[in-house]
Amino acid sequence: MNITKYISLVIITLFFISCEEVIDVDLNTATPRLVIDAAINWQKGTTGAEQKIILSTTTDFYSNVIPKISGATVSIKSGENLNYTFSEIPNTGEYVCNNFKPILGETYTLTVIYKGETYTATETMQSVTPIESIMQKNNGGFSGKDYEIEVLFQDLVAKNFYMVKFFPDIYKAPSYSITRDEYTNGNLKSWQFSDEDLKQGTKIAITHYGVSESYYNYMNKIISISSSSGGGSPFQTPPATVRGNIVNQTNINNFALGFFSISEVDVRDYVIQ
Amino acid sequence: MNSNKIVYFFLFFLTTLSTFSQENIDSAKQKYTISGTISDSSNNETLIGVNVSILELKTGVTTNEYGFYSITLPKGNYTLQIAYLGFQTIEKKIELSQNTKNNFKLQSAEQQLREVVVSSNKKSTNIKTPEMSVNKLSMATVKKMPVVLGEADILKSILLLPGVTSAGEGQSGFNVRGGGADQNLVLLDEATIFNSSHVFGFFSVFNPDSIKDLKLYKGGIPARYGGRASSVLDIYQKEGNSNSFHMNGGVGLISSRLLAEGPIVKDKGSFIVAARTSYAHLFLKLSDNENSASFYDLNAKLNYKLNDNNSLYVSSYFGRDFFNISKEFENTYGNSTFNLRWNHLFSERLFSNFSAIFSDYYYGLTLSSVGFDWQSSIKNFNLKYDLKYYLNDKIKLDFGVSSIYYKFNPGTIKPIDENSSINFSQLDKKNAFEPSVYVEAEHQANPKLSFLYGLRFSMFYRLGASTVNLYQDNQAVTYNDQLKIYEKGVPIGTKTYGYNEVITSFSNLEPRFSTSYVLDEKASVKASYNRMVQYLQLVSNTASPTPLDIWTPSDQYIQPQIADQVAVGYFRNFKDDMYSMEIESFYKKVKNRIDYIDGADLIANNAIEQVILNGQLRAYGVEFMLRKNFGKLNGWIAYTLSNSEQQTPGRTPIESGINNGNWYKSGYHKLHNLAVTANYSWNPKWSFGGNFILQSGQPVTFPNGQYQYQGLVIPSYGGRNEDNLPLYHHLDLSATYVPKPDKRKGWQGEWVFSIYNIYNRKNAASISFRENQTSGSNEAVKLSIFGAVPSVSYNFKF
Repeated sequence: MNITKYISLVIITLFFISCEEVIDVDLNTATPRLVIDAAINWQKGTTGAEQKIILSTTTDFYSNVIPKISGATVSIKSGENLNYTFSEIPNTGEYVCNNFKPILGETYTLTVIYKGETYTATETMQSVTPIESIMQKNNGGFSGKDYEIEVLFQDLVAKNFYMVKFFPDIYKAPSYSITRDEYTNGNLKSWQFSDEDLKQGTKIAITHYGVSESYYNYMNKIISISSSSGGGSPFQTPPATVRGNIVNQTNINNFALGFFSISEVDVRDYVIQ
Repeated sequence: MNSNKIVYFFLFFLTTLSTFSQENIDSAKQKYTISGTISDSSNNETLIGVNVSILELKTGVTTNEYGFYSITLPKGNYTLQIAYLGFQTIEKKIELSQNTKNNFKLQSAEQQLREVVVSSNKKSTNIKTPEMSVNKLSMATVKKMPVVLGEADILKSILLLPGVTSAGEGQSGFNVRGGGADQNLVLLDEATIFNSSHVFGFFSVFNPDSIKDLKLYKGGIPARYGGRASSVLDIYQKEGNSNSFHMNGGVGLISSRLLAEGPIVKDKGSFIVAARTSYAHLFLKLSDNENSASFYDLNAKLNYKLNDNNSLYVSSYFGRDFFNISKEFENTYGNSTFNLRWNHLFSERLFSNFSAIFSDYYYGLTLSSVGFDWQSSIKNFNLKYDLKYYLNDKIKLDFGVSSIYYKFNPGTIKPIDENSSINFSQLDKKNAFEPSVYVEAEHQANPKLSFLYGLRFSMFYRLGASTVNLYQDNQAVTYNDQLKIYEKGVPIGTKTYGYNEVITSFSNLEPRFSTSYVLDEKASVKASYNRMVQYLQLVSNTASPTPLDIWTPSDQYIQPQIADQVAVGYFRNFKDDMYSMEIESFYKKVKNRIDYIDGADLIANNAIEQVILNGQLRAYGVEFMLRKNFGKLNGWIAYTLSNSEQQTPGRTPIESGINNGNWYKSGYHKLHNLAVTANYSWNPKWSFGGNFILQSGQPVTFPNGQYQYQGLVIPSYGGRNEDNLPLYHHLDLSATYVPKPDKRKGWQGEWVFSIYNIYNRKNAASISFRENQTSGSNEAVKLSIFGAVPSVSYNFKF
């Protein structure tokens, strides 16, 4: 359970007589850095053969265009030494594979070769318990007046880490949450999602992930600094660039951002009644 | 634990004491002592820091925290002068041929004015004593300053002093000389206050009506204080009027207060009870949600004079804040203190005070939607014995012992009912014991040169019952050399300690020294050095404290903070003491300042050592203060130029450290800090006050790029705290109207009108960066809290 989230929510809400104003702030732009977005997800009930990895770079903070990276070599090797090649859909920065074979508990290694430098990362595929049910409340949320959905799942008696993505069709960017079972081991757990903009007929795409502890730690930092989630709170720690699990084997200081994760997921669509 | 050190210290202590006692017997033949207490004639309230001077010898003393003074002189005829700010100065000729008790009651200057006897009303800087880096504020001064939301506020007023800055608007706590807010020891009648604000910093927990006096030590901290690295804010509550029964109070827009005081036995015992409460549903009612925020506090004090040599004091404080959002989120927190003190005079020259103090800080949180209940607390029990020995007119000796027992409950997590998915969980409770002894001498070597030298020996025992994690190579934080990041260490085992079994112990000698050299009648130079050791650490990753901040004792992984500070200063009074000028420069270095690894989760973390690294803090600067002490217009200008930086280097050459091991600006670095406060008495009915504050914006970290990951826009960053918020400034004005200024009996009222931030400056509390929901582009958003805030309150007494 992540109470930090609730605390910061309250502290922000406290600014009852506060006012927000969009202002111009000049920012420096650092030299572009490679970003590897390699989240391999095996949806329950599918073969998991089709997978996608996106390569891009960092750019000016106010820019509306994210530069894509073409011409890299991308592959994933399984513990059984099976090699899956990801080939680029020309000039999109998207690298796809159609014959990937996911195995729970198997260790995989990602290799990206770009501009003569080799980047690698290793992860073990995490399983997840299925979504048991989805419930809806019409007097939920922070104000007690919003639609709220609750997604129930059973935690297993072991150390588990979970992530969820809620993507309502009225949003531009998805909303992620993470949780662990430190205080709820072996219990029926739930995800909650509410927003004052939800209305009858809003469709919400729900993805429920089993994640590794290192991916949990990574996403914990990513969620807290993501500008899609409204940026940091006024009380945040001095933010820092979040390092993932990808290592540049050629030049260790020219590190890449992003993460190589590999998870089993359960997916549902829910329409607000 | 080095027991030899302690033995030596006590030996030193005892020999010093016996040498002085020896001299005492020898000299007693020709010398006599004059002693007594000094109080306010109107209510018998004892007065702290009154100057008692022997005009013939150009020497003197000041009264202590209980209004007591003592001075030992050769037989002879003297003129005793008693002077105190706001009171009529008394001069008395005495023939000293035996030990004499002389109690004085001072008449307030207001009464004096009525009687058209205008004489000096001293509040010039005391240039002679070695005491430096100390600011004293009387409640009369505090009450004349305009403040936001219309209520006099101790914490807001100390922000106007040189070397003191606020973490930001609407944030609690204050920073002294570039130190953290956790490094301030805040004492209310000697009891430690862990959270000094109500409603997240909008009000201080100190009811202005029940406070008598306060002193802020920024440097040259006397040996009787210990336990925090940067400063001591020592606040004393009133004892209550022992002449007659009175009430006073105030009605404001946000809160109201009422105080009653009176004799229990006339001239022997008195009581004071004060209460303050905000109106429920503070501002949040304005929004259409069912939210509320409110607070209240109670102060009570009893004192009784058993006889000439013994007095008893009982005082207590209880305060609570409530915060409720849609009944989903309920939050309660606050301090409570209770203490019993016994003043005993062994002789005219040996004053003692025994204190038994209890203080508790409680934090409770209930989240109904997830069925979650959280409680945490810090309790401490303190026994103290302080003695003051007035050896002769040249030397005064302070010595004493103190022992504090702490009980920390970092968190109890409970399900609120059987439907909750939360399991019961208790974060490891922590106990600790902090004994200390000190001795200090104030010594006037010759008419020009005086010294204050002290030594404090502090010990700290981290006690069980606890189960402590063990780590490879004793390192609770590990470094991932491939990814260049710090990670939580994985315990390789645990060790269980029984109840009150010593887990780790520390001991430190804390030398204190200050000196003053009088250049001429008007000017002096002073210098000081102090070492302070702080055994408690505030676990907070924000620049300013929040109510949920967790304190943790030092242990085998978290070292105590050790601060060394030197300061030099030049002090001058001019134009017949109409003006005072103080210039001070300081350098402070704090070892073992904690820092957090990136992404550290601090709340409900049962192994906090896994996210903490020990670094260091340094701060240096120059403070300047020019004060007009009396007249129709009085006030001061204070300016501070200072630097405050932190560094957490790697523990080995391979490690990167935090911010690549480079020095970076601390969250409370303020390069420039200017404060002007003035008060003008136009006529007996109207007086006006004004404050102007200007300080550099807080250091912050802005992004230097962005990227996309899993559909999210993620900012990237360069070095830590390399950017700044915009300049912070505001001007506040107030007017006080007393309809019947001549009325001295019965109902007396006054109206206070004030405007905070009169030109409606939108100071930035923060600048955050986000993706605009409609355009999808990134933008910078400034959050400001207060625009112009007008307020009115009515105060009364009878």
